[in-house]
Amino acid sequence: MKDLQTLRKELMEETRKKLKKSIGEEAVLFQEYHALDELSKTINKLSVKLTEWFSSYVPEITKLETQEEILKLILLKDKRTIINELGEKETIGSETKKGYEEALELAEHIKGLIGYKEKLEGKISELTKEIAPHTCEVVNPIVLAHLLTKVGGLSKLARMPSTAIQLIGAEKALFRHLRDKKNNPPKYGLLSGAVDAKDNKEKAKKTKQLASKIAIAARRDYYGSK
Amino acid sequence: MEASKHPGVYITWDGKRQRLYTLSLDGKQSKFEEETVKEGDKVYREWDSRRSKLGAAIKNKLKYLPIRPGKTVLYLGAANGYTPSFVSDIVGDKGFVFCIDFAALPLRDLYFLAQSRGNMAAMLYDANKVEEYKEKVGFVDVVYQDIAQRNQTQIFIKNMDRFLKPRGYGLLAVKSRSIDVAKRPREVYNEQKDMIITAGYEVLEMIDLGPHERDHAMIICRKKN
Repeated sequence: MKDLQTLRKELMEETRKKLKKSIGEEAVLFQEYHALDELSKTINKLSVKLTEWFSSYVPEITKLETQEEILKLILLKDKRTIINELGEKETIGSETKKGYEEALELAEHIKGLIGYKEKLEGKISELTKEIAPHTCEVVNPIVLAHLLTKVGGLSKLARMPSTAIQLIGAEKALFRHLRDKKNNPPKYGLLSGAVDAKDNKEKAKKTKQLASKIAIAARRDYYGSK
Repeated sequence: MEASKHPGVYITWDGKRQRLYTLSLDGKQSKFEEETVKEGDKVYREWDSRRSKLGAAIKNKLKYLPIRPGKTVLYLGAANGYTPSFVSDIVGDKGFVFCIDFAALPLRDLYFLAQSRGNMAAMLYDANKVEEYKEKVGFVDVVYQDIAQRNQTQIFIKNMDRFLKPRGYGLLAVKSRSIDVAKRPREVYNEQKDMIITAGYEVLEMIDLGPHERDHAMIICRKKN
């Protein structure tokens, strides 16, 4: 019994040292990417809420198409200016002043979050370029950060065949196809966001080409000398 | 609280629903936010069979649980330590649990858990590379493995060959979906079972873990002399 206790102490000490070493640059990149992902979702949700809220005062803002335009307009703050800016004379919105200030405050916060998101994107790009400089030449660093987060690091990505890289993010469709061949196999996963194509067929082709380039570049980055 | 047929495991009945408990080793709730029941100065921790494959096997009428008070267990694929905490409860002060996992992130939780329990050690190793930790672990009574890997059965056999005492037991949680998604689960279970028999072990029982865990099974085997 005494022996086991000494052994346990040694093992725990060893594990402590290993755990300390386990957090490398890539682990930080994953955390940053997860934060970025969550941030985009939050900004989206809050913007929708803000538009809904603000349209009780000036319903005309919903005529604008993008959330960015709406936010920019709301940040002008004065109700009269906003209405003029929209090119309207009158508004069918409520005359009440209650909650107006608070809505503006929310808009300020969203603006802050967007600023932070952009900063974080810059940092992620820098870090990704440090980890995989050659791969960043063929694909957008943010998309690459997404890929790395998904597969769990450059060491994994470098060992993947290009067809597997092509289908990262399409696992559900792939396994559906493998289980039952009635379902068509997927042609692209999250890489499809990094190519421009006029139709799905072209998208499939371009994604395949891009994936093969990434496979080559990732191997260069992982196995090649710095 | 009544004792079940497995020493160290307790049950209560809530109408027709059975709940599993173990006697908490350190006399308190752990970080998993499980329900606890106090009886006198004893604290029992509820064992959720939907979160633990061993719990599911017990609920599905496992005949014989080789993990008993005083045994040493090698636990492969410990993750954040939910099931290992109950194994540690069952084996008690005189037993020991070696917990191995490959991923550093969940192992952090396990590390904190092992700090507060004197019969547990957390180890960061790849269960596929037995050579790396063969000197750290002695012979054990039970090898328990829950790794969702394609070659999980080979890893299991490798570890049993190296660490299991003669007449010792092995418990393998098979995840058929990670071995082959295209095959029927039952086929996969039988393949794994045959593989274990070919390696020279005696298969005592095979339990489907549905509905607690879909497409999973538990295989209990024993080393020959």
